[in-house]
Amino acid sequence: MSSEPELDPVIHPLTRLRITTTLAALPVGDGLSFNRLQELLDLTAGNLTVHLRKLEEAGYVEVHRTGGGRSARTTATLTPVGRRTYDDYVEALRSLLDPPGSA
Amino acid sequence: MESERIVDAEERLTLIDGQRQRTERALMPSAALLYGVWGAAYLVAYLGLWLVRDSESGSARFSTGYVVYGASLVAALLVTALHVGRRVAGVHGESATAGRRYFLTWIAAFGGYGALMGQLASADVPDDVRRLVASLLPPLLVGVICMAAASSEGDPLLFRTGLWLAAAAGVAALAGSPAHLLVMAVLGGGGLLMAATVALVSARRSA
Repeated sequence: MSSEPELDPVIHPLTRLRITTTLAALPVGDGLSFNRLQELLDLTAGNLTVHLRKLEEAGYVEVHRTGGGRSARTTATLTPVGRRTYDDYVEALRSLLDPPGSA
Repeated sequence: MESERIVDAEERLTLIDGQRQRTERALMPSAALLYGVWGAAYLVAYLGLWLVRDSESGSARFSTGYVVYGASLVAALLVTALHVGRRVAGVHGESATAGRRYFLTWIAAFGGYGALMGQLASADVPDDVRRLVASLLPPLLVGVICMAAASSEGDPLLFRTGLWLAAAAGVAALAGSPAHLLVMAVLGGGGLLMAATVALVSARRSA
């Protein structure tokens, strides 16, 4: 019987892992504009939109859109569920390297 | 299969660490830069006033000195506004709200300082007293605001720096005019430059 930790499949793809890491580095309750997120991740707008939508559908990220047309502003914030899932994911990675009871 | 998973986990943790550091570097204002800029501004501002003093009477050709003083502090203010503005651009939420309140605290403090100095200029107050208040009230306000901000943010270096500035203003007041200018240049400017060094060393260690 395996006791290996489960890795969340929504966060697991590298691009989504980098997105959640970036948002998790902000203080709780803070969000980041789409443009700044794009700059910090070196992603195209289309690629970032697709991955943000996946995270939003899973309830891990909240995306706020204000205004319209060229002045539209999009902000992404990690939800409490998203932050908890991300923390569990990182913990699961650490326990793969250093399994409990291995010391 | 198991070893592949471990290698993958290692690579992922490295990637997480790198991305986290990149985000923090991009979004966090550099404490070393801000302390350094303000340390240099204090040094130039107060030394400027000290150097143009009239050694015969102890009062001064203060108009030139106050131009240097004002220009140094305005330059530091501009660098601060540009640096912090660029770093926090795009951040929304509770930090942005706290930042706006912090900004209003400075406006209220220095708006009040301006009003007080305006009243003192037209009041029958000895020049030495007016100059003492004009040049020591700002570092006292800065020190107290820094201590209050550091208490809520849990920033020990900012708290110690604020305490040092407030204490330097107290020592300078006891030294009297015009010695207070030299005291503020050395203790105020020097203290801020020391804080810049500590912040730089700390940032390099954690990088």
